[in-house]
Amino acid sequence: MKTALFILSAFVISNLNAGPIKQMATTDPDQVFAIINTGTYAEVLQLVTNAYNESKAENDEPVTQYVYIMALDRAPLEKKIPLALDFSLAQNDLDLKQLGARSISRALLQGSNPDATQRQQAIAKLKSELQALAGTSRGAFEFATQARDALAILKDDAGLDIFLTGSQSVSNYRQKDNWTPTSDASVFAALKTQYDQTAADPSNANPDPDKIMAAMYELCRVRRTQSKEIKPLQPLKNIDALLPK
Amino acid sequence: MKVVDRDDPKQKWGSEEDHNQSKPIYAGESCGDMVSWKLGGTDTWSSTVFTWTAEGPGGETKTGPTGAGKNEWKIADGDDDTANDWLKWKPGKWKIKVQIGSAQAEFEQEVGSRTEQYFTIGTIPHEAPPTAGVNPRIIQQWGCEPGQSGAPMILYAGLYLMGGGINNTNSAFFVPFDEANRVYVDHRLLSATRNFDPIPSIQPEKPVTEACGLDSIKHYRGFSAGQFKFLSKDDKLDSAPTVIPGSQVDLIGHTPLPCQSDNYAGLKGVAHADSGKVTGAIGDAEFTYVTKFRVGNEGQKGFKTLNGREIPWVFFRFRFEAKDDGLIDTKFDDGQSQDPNGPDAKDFSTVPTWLVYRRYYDIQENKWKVQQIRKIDENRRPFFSIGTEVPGAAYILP
Repeated sequence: MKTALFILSAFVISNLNAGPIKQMATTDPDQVFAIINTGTYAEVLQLVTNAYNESKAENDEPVTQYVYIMALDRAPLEKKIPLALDFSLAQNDLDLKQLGARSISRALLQGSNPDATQRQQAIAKLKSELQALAGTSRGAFEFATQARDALAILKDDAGLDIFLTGSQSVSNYRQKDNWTPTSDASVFAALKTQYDQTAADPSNANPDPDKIMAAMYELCRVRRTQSKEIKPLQPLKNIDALLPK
Repeated sequence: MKVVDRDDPKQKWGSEEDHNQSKPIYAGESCGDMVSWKLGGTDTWSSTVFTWTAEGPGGETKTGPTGAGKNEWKIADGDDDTANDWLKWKPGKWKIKVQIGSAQAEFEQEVGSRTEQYFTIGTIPHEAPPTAGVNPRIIQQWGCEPGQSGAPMILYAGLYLMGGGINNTNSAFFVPFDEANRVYVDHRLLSATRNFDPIPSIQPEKPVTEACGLDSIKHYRGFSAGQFKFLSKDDKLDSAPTVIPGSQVDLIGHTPLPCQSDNYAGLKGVAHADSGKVTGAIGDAEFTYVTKFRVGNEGQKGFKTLNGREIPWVFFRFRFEAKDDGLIDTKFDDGQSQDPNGPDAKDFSTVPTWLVYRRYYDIQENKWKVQQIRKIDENRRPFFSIGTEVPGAAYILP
């Protein structure tokens, strides 16, 4: 693996303009896959960073674009959250930020178990990126919804607070699940159980949204035990306001 | 006059507001406004007989309440007449007439049309490719079985595709210059990046701005929704259609990376400049709303290398006629368009599979529902061959 990294570095250092990642990917893909599958975290991070930079330097060059998306996709589960924090969320690119937030929530839903430090890092990064979101756009909306879900799965109240700014969804869920901002905590505990059970049903083809709603209702339960109402308190972003009118 | 504005279809009688009669109200199949016309100063006329009627476009008539003290014509929920809980009248100018004893009063009421909310999902299902005449090496290289590094072989092949190696006769990943092998690879590129069936995952209570809970990598290549209202005169538009707030989205999905078990990541598609546009002006017999997109630049490059053709745009056109009920008038039975830069006279492309749904609020049951209007199965083979030929290409698929 060190050899592969050395070759990769040598390519980058010696001839950046020639597109070293592209060259490696189109002449010896095994090197790329070897880094992705068995490389150290630093090696994978360097691969995606170099591929991204190379793609951007050549107007979104397709081969290198494919390489970094593929690396983010195929990286082992334990590397997905660190890659989201160190790469995807660190770029000034809403599509990549969205993929980073999505990557965090999906890694958690698939069983990734980050330690407390990494959890806090993820929460802090998602919050800071949300606060930095400027203007209205579909991309901003999609990133905010992905970050909202990731924060909720990370058991942070900020995820719920953003969810509660989505007026249509909240109104519909209130009606469907029969709750009010001052419903008893036991109501939300029961809803969490209900969504957990739906998510665990083997016939459920798409359990992730149910898992996310279970996480939202758990946050609602916690709020009610603190006598706080289920309404936006200090949302980092207002989902409704992010969509262009 | 009081009206419940059902741009928000959950609104019921009780949220009615005063309405200036000179302004239109809107009819709709499931989302027409609720309305009450009442003659002012007649609340104490309990023994006077009132007879309400309405005369509309084309001589169509409606009969309202008749009887002593019936000084109000209310079309709303909450009464015994559950068949008339909101306005479903033909769009145009109506004359509301009320006979009061031996006297008669009449006034004009403009009724517009509020369409139902529709959405379409463009999705790629798995489809077994034809294998007759296909080299076994090609079948192996474009499959999901792991290669030397453990990555699916098709990922290697994909890199050679984008790098141009598939057209190099000396390359291990050369794809023979013949229809059987090239079409096989075309099929595999779609099937290995298939979407999950979106149908079981549609959540009616989630708004279309959130794609009804569908995922842009997992479930769709494109998701487009819209709901509109318009005025009509003599079966022609009498106003440009306007979008109901919060009801229009035109979302471009991703091409998932090949051979994923859960569609974790993908490459975003690109929208055409016409995508998401509503066309229709005063005097037109209909208006349309189009979604139009294709795979991102990596997929465009791969398609060009493989087929010697530009990749066609894919599209779906919603149509609504000005003359009637706000239900969709897309020409489903006219078949798929073969135009790589459509739509032409036909409303939808041969790929992907198009699912068309109506999303509506059931006011009796207090819940959002969806109804499938059509499922149009994709027809891949024409799609591979209708794109513009690339001059000087190593191979051009017939």
